[in-house]
Amino acid sequence: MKMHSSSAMMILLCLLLTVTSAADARPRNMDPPAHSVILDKNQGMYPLGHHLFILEDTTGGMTIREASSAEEAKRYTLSKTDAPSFGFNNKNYWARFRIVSRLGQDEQWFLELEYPHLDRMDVYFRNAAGGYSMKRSGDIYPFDKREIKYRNFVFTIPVPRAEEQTVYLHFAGNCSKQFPMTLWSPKAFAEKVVKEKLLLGIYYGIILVMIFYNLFLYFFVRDRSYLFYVIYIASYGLVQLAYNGMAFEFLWPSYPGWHNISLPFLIGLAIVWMAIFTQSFLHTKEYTVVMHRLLLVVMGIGILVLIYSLVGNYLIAIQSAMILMVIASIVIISSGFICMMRGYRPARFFLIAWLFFLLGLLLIALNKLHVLPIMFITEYANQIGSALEVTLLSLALADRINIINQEKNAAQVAAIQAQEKYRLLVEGSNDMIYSLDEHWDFITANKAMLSYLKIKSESVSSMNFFDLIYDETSAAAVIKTLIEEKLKVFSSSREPLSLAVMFKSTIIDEPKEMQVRLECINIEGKNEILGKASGVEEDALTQFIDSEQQNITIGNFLMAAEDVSHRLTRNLKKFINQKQANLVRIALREIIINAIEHGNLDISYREKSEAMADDTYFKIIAGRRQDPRFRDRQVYIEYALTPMKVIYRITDEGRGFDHQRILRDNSRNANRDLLAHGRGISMAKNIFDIVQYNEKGNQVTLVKKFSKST
Amino acid sequence: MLSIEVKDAVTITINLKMVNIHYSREILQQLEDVAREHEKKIILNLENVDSLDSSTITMLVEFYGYCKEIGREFMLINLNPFVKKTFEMLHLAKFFNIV
Repeated sequence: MKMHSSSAMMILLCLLLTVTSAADARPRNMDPPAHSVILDKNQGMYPLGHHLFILEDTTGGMTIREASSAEEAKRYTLSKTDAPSFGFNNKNYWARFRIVSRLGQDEQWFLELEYPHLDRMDVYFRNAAGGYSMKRSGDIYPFDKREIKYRNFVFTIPVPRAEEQTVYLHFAGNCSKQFPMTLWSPKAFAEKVVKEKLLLGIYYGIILVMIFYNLFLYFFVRDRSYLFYVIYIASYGLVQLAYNGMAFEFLWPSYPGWHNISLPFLIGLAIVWMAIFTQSFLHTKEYTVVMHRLLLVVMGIGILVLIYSLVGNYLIAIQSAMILMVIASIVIISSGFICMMRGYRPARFFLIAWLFFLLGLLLIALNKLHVLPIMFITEYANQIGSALEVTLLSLALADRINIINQEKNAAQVAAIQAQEKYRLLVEGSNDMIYSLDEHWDFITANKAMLSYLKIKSESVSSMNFFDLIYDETSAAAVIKTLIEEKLKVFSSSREPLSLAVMFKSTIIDEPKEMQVRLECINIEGKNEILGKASGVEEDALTQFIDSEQQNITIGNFLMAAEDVSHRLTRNLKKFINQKQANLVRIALREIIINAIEHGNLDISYREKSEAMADDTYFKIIAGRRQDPRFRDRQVYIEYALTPMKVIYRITDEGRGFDHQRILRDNSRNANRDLLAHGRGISMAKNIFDIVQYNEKGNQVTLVKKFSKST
Repeated sequence: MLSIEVKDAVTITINLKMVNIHYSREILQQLEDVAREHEKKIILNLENVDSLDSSTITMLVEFYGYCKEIGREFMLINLNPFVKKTFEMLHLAKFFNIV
């Protein structure tokens, strides 16, 4: 059936061509042959698709004389499409159409080929001498050689009043052979150009605004996705400019050689940046490794295409670029879809943007398939689709930045909360917590540490950890050396370290034993030492102890009284409540301090009161401790704990004191007389069941009995 | 160590858990400076103090005497049970104005 209709068509065509070839000689009042373009003053535009007779020049060297001969006329076939197309090839084609003027006056009309990438096009029309005049154009010639300076190829055709003529066209070159042609009246052509410039101006305006806006945003937010987006839409804009001939008109009019190969090069470039932008925007490396790799492949092929377009065959380059564009679109849309399905919120706008772009292409396809008529939206579907795409991609970027900011803000809030929690934990701790640099200089210290050092937080950086280690006596100096050795090992091994260290007191020159734990940490690339110093650790065996006994000897250090009283009361918790145990500790401490102050160091109440008033108390203590008369004296503490009671016996090496008077006087008198002493023994009397001094007054026995009620 | 709030009265808060002889002299010095500077009632807030020793008691007794001398009213507030017990043992619960 197809063969039959084709044969019939051929016969019909032959008949028509015979008639057409002789048409120039036909009388004016005869009816024009079929498929002629009959120009009327009421119509300004004539698409030529269905008026063209086309002949493939197989020899490649056919002249106008041969092409217009009666013999060749038989071989022409009538086009059945709006835009005859023969794909990418290097063949030559002849085409002809017949114009019948009913304009009533001589006019010049415009013949437009709406495909700016044809290498060469010649137009032949009858001249007054009876021969053919020829006009030539093509994208292999500099732009300014064109008769009409317009992005498409446009020729003026003389249309004599009430005459008929056949116009011959010759197409040649290594390019796509497609002939979407239109014949325009001057007025209609001018109107079309004005409208088109306005719309394309809006389109490229949108692209330019997006480029500058997002470039500005890139400099502002320093997110590389913006930069990739800007390069992508700039290269995509160049593809559009090159595709519709405006790049040749405005950007490189004197470089036809470059114009000829620019399209596959720019398509390759746009695909490469499109893939880079997609990877960066969608974080494909995190969300879909497979698509990330596919995008890398697309990029690689894109680079090959753009390199090949510069050195290789144009037909292969442009066809590869077109195929790659289809593949890249599929890969990019799939990437967007997968990322969206995997919970990456910014992928939504990305996907919508690309769907608009595809919708534009779909509208064009539907128009070409005659499903949709030619109308504004189908005519400019490519521009509308891509303008919406770039705008939505810009919105997608903004949305992404918004999401990042939201996440950042949430993370900041969490970090501030965590920091505040940490600060409260550290600042509220009774333990001394601090950080040191690699030279053992303090960086930070918590309140407990500042309080112990008696310094303000701003002065902490002037302190060094080694300066705090007690070394006043020769034995302590040896211990300090041993500790320094341990710390050196810690510095090189960076393994956490726990050790007991005797610290200097900032108030008096007495040591205080502390359990120190050191750990190496790395904060923002800097090595620091995190330290914690706490009192002597609680004994885990406490719960199992029924009875114990200890003898302790201490020097004349007030700090030692604190530590010893803590150590000798920590196991009381098994027999009495914590409050009672604390009271015992304070009372014991008072008695030990008395043994040091008034016993070994021989400081009288009067001397103490005066020293307290003069604020020279610690100076006197330090002075007496160095005094040869007192410096070798020690305090002996005997301690016995049973389930029934706890007993402490504290003996000093002093000359004893008038304990009878102190025991007799009660604290009421001290209060009444606003005395600065005498309350320690009163506290002990209140807390212990027995407070008993020996005759000499240098030994006191304290007994606390446990009852079920305590 | 101390935070001071001046309104109708001067409220001084001791920010130490344990007050002993190592701090008591310095605290006394600061308390006397504040009392001298402001002709207002002095309120000592002990809410942060877990325990104190005899030297601290002595310091408070001395400060009480100083306030009396320069005509300032002195009051202790927010004593925890342990601190209150220490005051009671030394017969100071009625000696001081404790709220």
